[in-house]
Amino acid sequence: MPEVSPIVFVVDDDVSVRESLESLIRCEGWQPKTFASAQEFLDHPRVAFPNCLVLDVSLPGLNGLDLQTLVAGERRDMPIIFITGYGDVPMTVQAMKAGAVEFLTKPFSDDVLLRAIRAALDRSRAALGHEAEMRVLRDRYESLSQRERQVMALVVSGLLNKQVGGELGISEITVKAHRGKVMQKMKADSLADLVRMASRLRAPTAATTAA
Amino acid sequence: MEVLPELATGDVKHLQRCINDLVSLLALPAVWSGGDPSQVLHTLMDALMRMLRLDLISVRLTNSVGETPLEIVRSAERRGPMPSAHEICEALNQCLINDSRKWPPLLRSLMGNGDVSIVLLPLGLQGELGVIVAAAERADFPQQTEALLLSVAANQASIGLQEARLLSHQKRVASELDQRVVQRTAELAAANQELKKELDERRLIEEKLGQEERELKRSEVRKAAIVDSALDCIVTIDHEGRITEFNPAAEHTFGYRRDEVLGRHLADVIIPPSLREKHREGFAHYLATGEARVLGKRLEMTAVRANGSEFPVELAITRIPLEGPPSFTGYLRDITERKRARQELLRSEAFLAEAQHLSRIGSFSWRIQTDEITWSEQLYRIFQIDRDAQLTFELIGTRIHPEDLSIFQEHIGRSRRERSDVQIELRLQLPDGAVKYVHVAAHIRGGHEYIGAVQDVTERRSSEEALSKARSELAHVARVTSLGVLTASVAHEVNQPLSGIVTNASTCLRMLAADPPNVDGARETARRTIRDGNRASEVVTRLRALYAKKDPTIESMDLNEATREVIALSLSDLQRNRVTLRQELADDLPVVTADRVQLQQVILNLLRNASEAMSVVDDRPRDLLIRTEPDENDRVRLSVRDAGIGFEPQAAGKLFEAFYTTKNEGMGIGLSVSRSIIERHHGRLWASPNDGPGVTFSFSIPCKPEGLTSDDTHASRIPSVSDAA
Repeated sequence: MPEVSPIVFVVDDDVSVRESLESLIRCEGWQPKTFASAQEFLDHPRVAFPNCLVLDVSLPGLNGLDLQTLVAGERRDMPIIFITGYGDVPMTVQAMKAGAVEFLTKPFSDDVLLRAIRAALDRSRAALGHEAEMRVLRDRYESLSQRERQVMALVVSGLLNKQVGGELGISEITVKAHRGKVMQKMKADSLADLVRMASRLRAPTAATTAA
Repeated sequence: MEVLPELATGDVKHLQRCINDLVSLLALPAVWSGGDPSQVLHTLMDALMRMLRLDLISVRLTNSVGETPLEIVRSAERRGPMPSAHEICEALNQCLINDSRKWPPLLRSLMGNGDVSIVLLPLGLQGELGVIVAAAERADFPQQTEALLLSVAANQASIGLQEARLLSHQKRVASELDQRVVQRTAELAAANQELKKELDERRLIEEKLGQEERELKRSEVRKAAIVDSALDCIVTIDHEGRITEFNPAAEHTFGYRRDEVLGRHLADVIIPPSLREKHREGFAHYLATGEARVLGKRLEMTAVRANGSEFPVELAITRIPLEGPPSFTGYLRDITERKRARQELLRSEAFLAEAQHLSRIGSFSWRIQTDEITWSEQLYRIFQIDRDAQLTFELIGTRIHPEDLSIFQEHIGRSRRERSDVQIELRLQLPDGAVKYVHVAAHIRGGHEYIGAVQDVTERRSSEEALSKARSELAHVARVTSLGVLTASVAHEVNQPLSGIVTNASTCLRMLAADPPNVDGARETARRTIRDGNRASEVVTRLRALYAKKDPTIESMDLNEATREVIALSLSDLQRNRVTLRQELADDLPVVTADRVQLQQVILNLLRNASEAMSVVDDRPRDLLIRTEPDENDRVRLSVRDAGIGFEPQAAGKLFEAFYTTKNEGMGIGLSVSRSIIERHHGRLWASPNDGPGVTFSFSIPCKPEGLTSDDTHASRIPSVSDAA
């Protein structure tokens, strides 16, 4: 599938900065989208293709760090590059800890910024791929019945069929049938494959189901 | 009748005449009826004289009846000489002396020159009534018929007289009775009248008495009311000094009930023991000699209450003007309050004098019309003028500094004409050569008199100069400090357009380097580069204006515009502190004459203070409101409202003091400098706590302050920077 040109969001309350970045980004073949405040940005719908955010720290109302806190959890596919008129160490540390890709002090070199944006978009792409994979896995897991999930949880934690039957109060034959269904539905080639899937899904194991 | 034929014709006629006469005599009583005795006698005598042709007839009565004479004599008109009445009486008296029964039937007597026959006829059975004497000169008198007629006449006369007498008696009795009745009636009427009069008088007297009584009662009630309701104590005493009246005011003042003190000696009741003896002596002295030292005067003395406490009273004693032993009324008034007030007045006067001395303020009054000038003691001291000197403007003028003398005289003249309030500062040059600064403030009272105060402000002047110097030093410190603190803010302000310039220039190069080159894009980007370059330059200019050391410039300015510029400069600082700024700048704000840069420094300082006051606030929005609005009296007001930590009420007075700060890193000079700037603009800077959290700082300045010029010596000392953090 041909890739849609990635979006670079810019949030800065200074019109000079916004407009110059818009030209630069477009010049590089990306789609610029500029906003003067955090709220304006939040009102814009999220996108499902590679994107990143160039964010000014000092903003009226919600400032850049606040915005980062708000979106960091749910928008793993949108890495953030901070820009600021002045930068102090504590602020930079906070931003980087929260997952910022880069922290640039104005005025910055265009090369540095563009490099940062490129890296961010790569990261976005990766995050999107991972998310798509995960979505497939989650869909497969969703298709399991309650009993099948119980069986899967016990199997991936290393129990034998007989032991699983004992745990669940069913016969070994029935466990076997459920296990076959799980392998089929999860499209797992081997038990090791199923174990890996379970760990990526952070699906419940025996320890958690027992509780 | 048959027996009479032989009678001669003469005889018949004689008889006929005799019978006629008899009938006439018998008819007489009818004529007499109701008549009085004299009428009886007169008619009888007339009849007899005519019938018998008598020459004389007389009637003599024993007792007079009414007004009838005792004797009536009638004689015929005769040809010859007639015996006198006297003669006849003499003759009659002779024959009438005896008892009538012995009277001879006929008397012959010689009276005058004739022989007269006299017949005496008694009246009444025994002649008790009187006698009729009939006489005629005829010898044949009385013939038989004549005798008969006479005796019948006598009888008739007796009866007639008796009746007339009876009638007359009855009449008299009746008239007497009538008279008595009339008299009695008159007497009764008089008595009645008298009685009536007496009654009237009595009623009048009673009425008068009643009225007097009523009046007396009324007057007593009135007096009692006066005495009872009087605010003064009224005490009356009798000649022995015993209390006879004690009104409610006295009860209240002295703490006795009226019935407790009535009859007691005044001295024992209200006079303090120490004075009692003197009172008694005075009283005795008056009674003995009538000389009084206290009557009719106002006295002040000490009195004592029932509880033994003593207090000053004002007393007036009058003698009651009544007869009998003397009695007195005392009017007493508790003058504790008055005394205290007087003492307080004295004390406050002393205080005032002392206060004037300490504060170096003297007061004066000046009556414009009369040029009467009065000074307080302190004023004489300030001017170093002798207390006894006659105060005139000439004399006062000798103490005014020569350079200020014309101002002084001009003010005197203007005050005289316009009579408006006065405020001037003058220099005095005293005889010892010293120069004093005085501040004179006076206001007109009643349109004709100035009351005022003169304060020696020499010391204040020198301390003001010192303060001014200190302030300018402070301001320098403030400038240096705030420069450092604002560096980050300045960097950001300049970095924004710089950042745009750099990016635009890079983009421009990229566009030109592309294949094919994007010339249009490059041109647009280059244009933006220029725009941003200009912007950066503006910021630098603005900053330079704020931070440069520059003499104050007074100009007409738009406070809103100045405010917007400051906001533009501080926006990044506010954002860094995560402050949300709201602006409410009035559209109808008048133009202000002021030093623009100085006001901007104040606004910047207020914004920074507000921002910092909210730096520790995390539980609520850091809202900051800046507002401009027209204020009353042709002023404009700017206020900055934060939602910060506020300040303690007791700190309100210190906020504007230099070196007072609530901030850890603050020096506490920003507000003090800001205040001095606003005051130079004749304005006011103040802080007030909000209803919710935080504080509002406001300043209000007149749009056209009087006397504010750019070369104002004070203004030039004003710092040109806001406070440090």
